[in-house]
Amino acid sequence: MTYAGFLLLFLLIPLGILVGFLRERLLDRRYLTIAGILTLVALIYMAPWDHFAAIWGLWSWRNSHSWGIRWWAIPPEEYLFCALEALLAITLTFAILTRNERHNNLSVSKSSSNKNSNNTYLAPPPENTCHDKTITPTSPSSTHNERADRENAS
Amino acid sequence: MNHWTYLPFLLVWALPVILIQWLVGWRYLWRERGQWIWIVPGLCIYFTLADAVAIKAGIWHFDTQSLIGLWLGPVPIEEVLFYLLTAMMLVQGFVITWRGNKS
Repeated sequence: MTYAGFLLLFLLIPLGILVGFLRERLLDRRYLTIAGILTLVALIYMAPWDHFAAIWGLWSWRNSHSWGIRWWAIPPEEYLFCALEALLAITLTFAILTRNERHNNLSVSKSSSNKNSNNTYLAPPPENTCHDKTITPTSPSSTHNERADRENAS
Repeated sequence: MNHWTYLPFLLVWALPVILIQWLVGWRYLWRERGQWIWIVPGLCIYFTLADAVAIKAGIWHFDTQSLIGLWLGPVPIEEVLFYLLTAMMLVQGFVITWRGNKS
């Protein structure tokens, strides 16, 4: 197996499956921006570290198993590994965080549509709520004055 | 030894990032811990297994003089720690930025 084959098998294919599973959920500008920036930061932070490890000989790659190119002392496949690992971790975390958000949103809209089939939960609170409040003896007088002022103005 | 060995070189590189992430985003990381915490060991196990395949296939190899000498099969323990720490940096980085600039 070559380094490119390794990337395909262990990174590209799992990432492809994840993308296929999430599909339009990934068309989220905030996710795309954060994923892009974090991947870039990961590459920039990894490169000098990996470079020094390579020139010190902490680890090395066999030319017979890679494209044989070096950017700094690092094969291009290594940059791809870093970028794909970042995308895989970020996208998996995104999938898990937003799965729960979706569950919450679904249950919210479900419960409100059960109470009111016209889906009016987005409408402002009914006027009498405010009215009730102003005539309660315990409410602060400023609330009453504010309401009176508004009524005078209109 | 005229150069760093793998373990200190890894810790000096990764731990400051993790520390800063907790200093900056501990509120989000702690509140959301039930959601993201399991992704980290999950990714670590997955990449350790993939690493074992790569080492067996001869794609990369390590200078045994620079390792502490503990292995999980063909994988040096430092490499397992590398995947644990990189998964932490990435997952925590995403949790903080995703929760932190919520529109």
